[in-house]
Amino acid sequence: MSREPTDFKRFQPAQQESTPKAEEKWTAGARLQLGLPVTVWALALAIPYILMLVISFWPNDATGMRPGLTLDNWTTVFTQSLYRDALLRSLGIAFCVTALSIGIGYPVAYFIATRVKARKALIFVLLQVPLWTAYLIRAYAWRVVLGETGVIAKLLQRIGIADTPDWLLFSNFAVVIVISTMFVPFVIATMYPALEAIPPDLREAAKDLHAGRITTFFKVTWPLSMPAAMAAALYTMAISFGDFISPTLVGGPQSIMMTQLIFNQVGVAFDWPLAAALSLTMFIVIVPLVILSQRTEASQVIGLRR
Amino acid sequence: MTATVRTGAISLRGITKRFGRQTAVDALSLDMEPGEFLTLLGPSGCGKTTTLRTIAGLEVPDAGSVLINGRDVTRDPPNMRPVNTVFQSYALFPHLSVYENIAFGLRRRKLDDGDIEQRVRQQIGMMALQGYDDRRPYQLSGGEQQRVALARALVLQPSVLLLDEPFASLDFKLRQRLQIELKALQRETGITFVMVTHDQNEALAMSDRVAVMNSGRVEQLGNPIEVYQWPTTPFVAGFLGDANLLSGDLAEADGRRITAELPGVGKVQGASVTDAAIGRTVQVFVRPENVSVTSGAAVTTPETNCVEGVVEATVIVGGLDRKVLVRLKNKSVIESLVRAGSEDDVPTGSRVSASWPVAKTLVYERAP
Repeated sequence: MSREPTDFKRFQPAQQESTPKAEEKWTAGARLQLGLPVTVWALALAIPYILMLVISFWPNDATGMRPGLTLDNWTTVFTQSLYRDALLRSLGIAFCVTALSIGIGYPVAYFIATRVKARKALIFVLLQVPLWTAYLIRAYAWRVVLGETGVIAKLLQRIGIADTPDWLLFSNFAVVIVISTMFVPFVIATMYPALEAIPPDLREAAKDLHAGRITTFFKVTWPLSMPAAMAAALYTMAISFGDFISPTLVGGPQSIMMTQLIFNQVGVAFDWPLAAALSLTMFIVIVPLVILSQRTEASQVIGLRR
Repeated sequence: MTATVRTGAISLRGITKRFGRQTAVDALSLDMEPGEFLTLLGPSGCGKTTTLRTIAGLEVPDAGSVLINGRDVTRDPPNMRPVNTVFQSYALFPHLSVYENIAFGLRRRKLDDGDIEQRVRQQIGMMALQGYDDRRPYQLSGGEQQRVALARALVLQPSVLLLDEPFASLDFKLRQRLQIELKALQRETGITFVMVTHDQNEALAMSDRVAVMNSGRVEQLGNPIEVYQWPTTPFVAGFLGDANLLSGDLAEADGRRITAELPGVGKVQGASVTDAAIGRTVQVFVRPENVSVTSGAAVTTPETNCVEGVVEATVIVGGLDRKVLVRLKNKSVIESLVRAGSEDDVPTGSRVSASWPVAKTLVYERAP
């Protein structure tokens, strides 16, 4: 059957919608108001880093550090297996923490945002309660929970999985678990509003267009929540990479992280130049992650604009 | 796209849907013919959108059943129904291009890329969306977004297309033009269109049949002219267009012809809509365009109702059409629509008579 197609062409608007960016005018007062704190802030950040960079090239011996120019500290960082392993281990632990936190936090946030009908806010607040207790105290509490006479050890013994679960406490496992308890509420706090912001009619439209539940999630909800998930993951990664409390309190000799080595160089060995080189190494590793997370946050805003 | 088999019949049987203590849809039964354009019209909260969502499968009714093409789909999820929806917000996927939005449903059907491409291209051509492939929804105007939403649903060649207030977010001029186009599209495709709207002009302009809804029920179902001229309830009379509803008492009943006494004004006649007993309170209905206002005394004939009053105001109601408000002796007001070009000019404050044909008058029993 041939027929005249509906003539929608007539209704094509001629010009594109344009949003001219208003030229922002800065008065002298505004410049000063904003410029002064920014300058102070930038200097307060920059000066310590510059000092660290300088000191990292200073020689150090039994008498202490003195001004000079040597590559010894940097050579030590990249050649001694202790430091190289600690760096890789720190990254590995941060990666595991990120995977676990997103793995638990995302589904919980998804559940509250899409399935829970009443008292969403209350549930959301209750999930943030763990953050009200100091991290240090929680880490100590986990020593009890994960300890030889702790609940989990007892339970494992009873069901006969492990006789003496030595991997429970003072291990990489313990470090990952304890840091993750810090970040699961953080991931929920990031993901819940992001998932809540996805209009429910998008999921309805997907179902209407013959997508099942699982397809709807992977084709609509997941891509739309991706920027927030990336931001949460990168922040979790960056911050847990520099964690000191958990490896110190629940870590063992096999789970030495970079932060502990830096602490030892500063507080025990008094080798500040080496500590400076180690710190800068961490900084160099983590900065790309932070920049990446800023980028994804910006794209999130655009992605959901309707 | 010749519809060899006429599909697209929907049958709603005794649909009830409650939200908490609110009954959104109340034992609603409605049959939609294949290929018709049916509009669910009503004020907000009348249950029209819930009814539409029940057909789509986005709501499961508490009671009753939904049949599409004779098959009971009450428990089927939306993705298992031969029905697609144009959402009020359009619900375009913001992370996907125009092309991918349109291809979304076809991809779920696991067609090969060649077929998908061909059908999407055809639909893009039909909706004049060429060159928009890679745009994101937020880069489109409201009218363009609506076309993408339509294309995304129509590319799946559904038996039934559901439209939830499709013009709500468009400006007046664009809305009027797109209404005509949408009606043409419906005729061409032969798809059953079920549209929800609260805009009576939209409903009257586009529909083959209108179902006027109130409090979760269908108050009247019929073609637009019938529903407009012969509203069966005062609600329908008042919701669809302007209506004069004058209170009175039933004085005489002669078959379908009723004489009502308007207190302090006089007797008027009209067709009965209900079997009211003498002495009951009634409402007399006449459309303002059927009322004419002339200077001088009232002359009632067997075919004309006539009442006297004073011109209270004359207001312009669009173009050069005017509405003359006449205050009757019992303080109630009757409106008369005077079309542009009419020379009759009645100054405010002058004594006039308002008259209208008995044949255009309906009498309702007033709800107790």
